[in-house]
Amino acid sequence: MELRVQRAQVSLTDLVTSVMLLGTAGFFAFTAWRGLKIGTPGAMGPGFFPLMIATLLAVLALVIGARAFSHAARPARVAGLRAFALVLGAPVAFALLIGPGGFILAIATSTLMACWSSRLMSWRFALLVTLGLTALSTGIFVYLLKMPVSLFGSWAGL
Amino acid sequence: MDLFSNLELGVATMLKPMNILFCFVGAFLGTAVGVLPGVGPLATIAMLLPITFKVSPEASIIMLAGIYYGAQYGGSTTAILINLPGEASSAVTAIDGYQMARQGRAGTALSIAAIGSFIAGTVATVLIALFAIPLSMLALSFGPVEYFALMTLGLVASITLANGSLVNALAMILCGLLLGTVGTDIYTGSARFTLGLDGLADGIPIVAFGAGIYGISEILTGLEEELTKPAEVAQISSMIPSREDMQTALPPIARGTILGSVLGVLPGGGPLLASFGSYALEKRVSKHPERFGKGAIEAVAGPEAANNAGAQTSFVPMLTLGIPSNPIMALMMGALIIQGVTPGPDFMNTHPALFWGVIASMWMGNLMLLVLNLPMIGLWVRLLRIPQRALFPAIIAFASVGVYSVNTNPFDLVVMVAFGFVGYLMTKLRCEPAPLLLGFVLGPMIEEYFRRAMTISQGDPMIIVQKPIAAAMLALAAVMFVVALMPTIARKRDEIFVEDAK
Repeated sequence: MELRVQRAQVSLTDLVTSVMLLGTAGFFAFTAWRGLKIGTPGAMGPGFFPLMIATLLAVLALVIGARAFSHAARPARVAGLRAFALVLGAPVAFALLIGPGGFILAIATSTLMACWSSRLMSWRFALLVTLGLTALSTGIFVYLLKMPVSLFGSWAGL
Repeated sequence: MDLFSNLELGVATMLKPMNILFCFVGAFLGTAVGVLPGVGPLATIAMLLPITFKVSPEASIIMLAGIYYGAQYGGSTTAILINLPGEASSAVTAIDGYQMARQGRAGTALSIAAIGSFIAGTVATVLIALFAIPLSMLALSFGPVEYFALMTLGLVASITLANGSLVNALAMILCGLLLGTVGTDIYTGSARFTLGLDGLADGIPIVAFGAGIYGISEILTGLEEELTKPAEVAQISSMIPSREDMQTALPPIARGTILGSVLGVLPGGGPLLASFGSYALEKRVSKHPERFGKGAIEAVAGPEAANNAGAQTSFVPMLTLGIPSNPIMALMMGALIIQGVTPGPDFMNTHPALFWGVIASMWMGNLMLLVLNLPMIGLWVRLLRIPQRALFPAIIAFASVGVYSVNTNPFDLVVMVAFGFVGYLMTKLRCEPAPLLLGFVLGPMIEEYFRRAMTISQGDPMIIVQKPIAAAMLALAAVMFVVALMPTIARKRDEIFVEDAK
């Protein structure tokens, strides 16, 4: 998958960077302005420093935005959708399952998901890796480091 | 206390069985992640941070330090044997090291790299011990104004010496500073930018942040192009270098050690800059520069010594001034702060055993690495046969459990995933994650000193110029930034790091 540049003379990379930075600066500046006391330089409120930094960031974002029109950029390679979904989904699965499902179910599910992020994975290999990693992390974290978790969670009725 | 009684204390701390064990674990893991392409010391440290909270601060920092300099050793092994630098700082070693391997001199290259690293590590340890005291004495006289200036200088210097676009890096620092303000304001107790989430009340959790920005996003990068075949490994012949080889290699090792030690202390310096600098230096002083790129032993010895020296002296600013000079130091400082130890000028007075123990452990770690790397090279070569598709799930599993275990809060995993995505997006937009992490760690401190300085001066910003030390530091920061922006220097920076981009 490639991000293509529409016109040769515009750097899409710089343009996107600029917009994202402006958004970040805007969020911090707006939130500080609306909800926090700004104060004066001699007696600063909690909003003073963030507002100051956000303003500086906005200026830099505009500089980067202006630079976008001075040169063309190469297209960038991006990881596949499946990789995204599974790599980012695996830790979230762990977070969701650790309470109700317990440690073993959480770690096994997230490992299995992570395995399938690779296009080169086979069922046999994935099960092997999952089994090995589940045993290893249960041993290290639960038995050796005594992490306060339940092995089976509330679903098992324990 | 004089240097000798300090070092005595350090050695006594180092020799505690627990610390020896963790030093070994660190050196071992460091070599492993150095050898494995796609797994860096940063991701490893981010993953292992939670585990270290279960042990004493001494043992944990000794282990993390071992991972850091161990990775420099391991990185050179892959660079020489398969022409694939395990670490960015070994990229230069690959140029001539791999050529030596093709000429059947892989063993010589490996042992010269290990011996050079060991000599450099030993000398750097002594240098740290010598310079730590005067530096922290100087820093003890600093007030909030000087600290604000010093941190600004550190941040600016860290980006002028790094690669990539300066403006982007500066923007990343500012983003880091903003992310550092998330959480409860220390003066007024009001919640800032928490989006109403309890999990952000104490700020963005640093372990989740680091594991996401480095661990998760590196996996996404690795999945773009998967290696289908295991790499071809060069045959290793005799490991013992000849007398002639040693004689050719020693002067570059000495020069690399000195250069690396100096470049390591600079903010933004460290092993990467050191190895590139040393390669350039050796090529310049060599009588036969035409041999470079065709298997010159000097081009392996110098950079390898330099990157190890640089890795070690980069501890100096963090331990003595409380200012991390690179992201790895920032993570270690985060680890110390979570353990209730704040690095800074009075660190060596309040925690002498910890301070000197870490320094002494570096020497012991280097000795262990020599043993780990030379006779046990076969083990590391075998490690190269592990397919990437087995490594990625392991990283994700350990990162998930590790991040969860810090606060036993599932929300931290959401933070990790969010920053994993942000980190990946940033690499696509050619924004370096390093300045973001530095800004994030220094943010709360820089804000505190800024507010205190302005309170003292009743809001007059001119106070910064009236204090000579602070003014000098800010002037230096401004000069460095302007110089780095100049077209000729900017082009030079691109040239120095051009090898890295390949």
